[in-house]
Amino acid sequence: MNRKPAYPPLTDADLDQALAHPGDSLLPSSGFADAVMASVLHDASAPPPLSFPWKRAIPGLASAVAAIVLLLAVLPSVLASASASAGPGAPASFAGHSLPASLSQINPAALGLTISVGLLLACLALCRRLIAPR
Amino acid sequence: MNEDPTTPPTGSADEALVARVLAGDTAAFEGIVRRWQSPLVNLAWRFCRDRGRAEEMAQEAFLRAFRHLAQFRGDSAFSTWLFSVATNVYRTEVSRLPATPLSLDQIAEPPDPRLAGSILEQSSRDESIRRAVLALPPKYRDAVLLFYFHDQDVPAAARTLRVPEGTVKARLFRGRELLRAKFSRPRASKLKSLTSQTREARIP
Repeated sequence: MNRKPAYPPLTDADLDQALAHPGDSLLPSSGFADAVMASVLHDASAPPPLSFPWKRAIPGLASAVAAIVLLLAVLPSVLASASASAGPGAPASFAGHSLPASLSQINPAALGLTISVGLLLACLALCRRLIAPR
Repeated sequence: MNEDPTTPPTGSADEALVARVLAGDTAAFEGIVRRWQSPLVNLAWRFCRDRGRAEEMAQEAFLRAFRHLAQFRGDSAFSTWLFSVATNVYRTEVSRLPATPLSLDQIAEPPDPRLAGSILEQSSRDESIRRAVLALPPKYRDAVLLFYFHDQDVPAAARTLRVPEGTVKARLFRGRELLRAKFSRPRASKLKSLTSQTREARIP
């Protein structure tokens, strides 16, 4: 036979009894307020956290963005030049690009290297600027 | 247990203290600490049921309130804002290190009344219920804890949790259902033991 056990169901009154019981509370210890105030005063006397030096960073960030934009602008031309010099098997998508006369004289690898070094120098300059004493 | 946060003199006293602290009088924060230490420690106690940890959590809550005091704009009562800050601190703390590392299924149930009868004490059942509340999923646990902390005031619990009242009611309902299911479940081991005892008693 399948008999259900006779557990008394938990009623809202049971929950109220357990959770709203006046005895279910804790009073702070006598030194609690003093301990809190000590930590608050310590916190208040600590120097404020350093804010990010936007004034110093903005020129560096701007030059980095400019370098990236320049790279993105030049890269298709460089790739087109490379594919043109590679011969007739080059992708058709680059066929329509015409390189400026000055750029067509430059070795693409050298140009890439120059841009990379430029970016690296820009990053180094930005780092130096950020950590330099005011 | 908790002071009514809507009482005008209290609210204005709190706001005056806040204004002094924001004006640079850090010592005025002591008035806020002394006034609200009992409710904040008590709320922390409900989240962790450990005296030392409750005081640490309440201290962290006061410190957080002090650091972000400028964010209190007076749109609501100061106590509402303070309880909200404290609840967030306590939630984070107990999620980092749970008050009860057991799941709801692992929480000890009160003794079976058929076996224990007179030794079943109300206090042990109450304690089991409190432990079981801590093992509820966090959103139900928070609703149940805040509801009882605010003397069974749903709007106050909703303001502290920053959720609509309907959400608190739904979570309370679901939390209670989970607790009822927990405390109505037959315990297989106890039933087996009872059955075998009965069988042995019948065999001469």
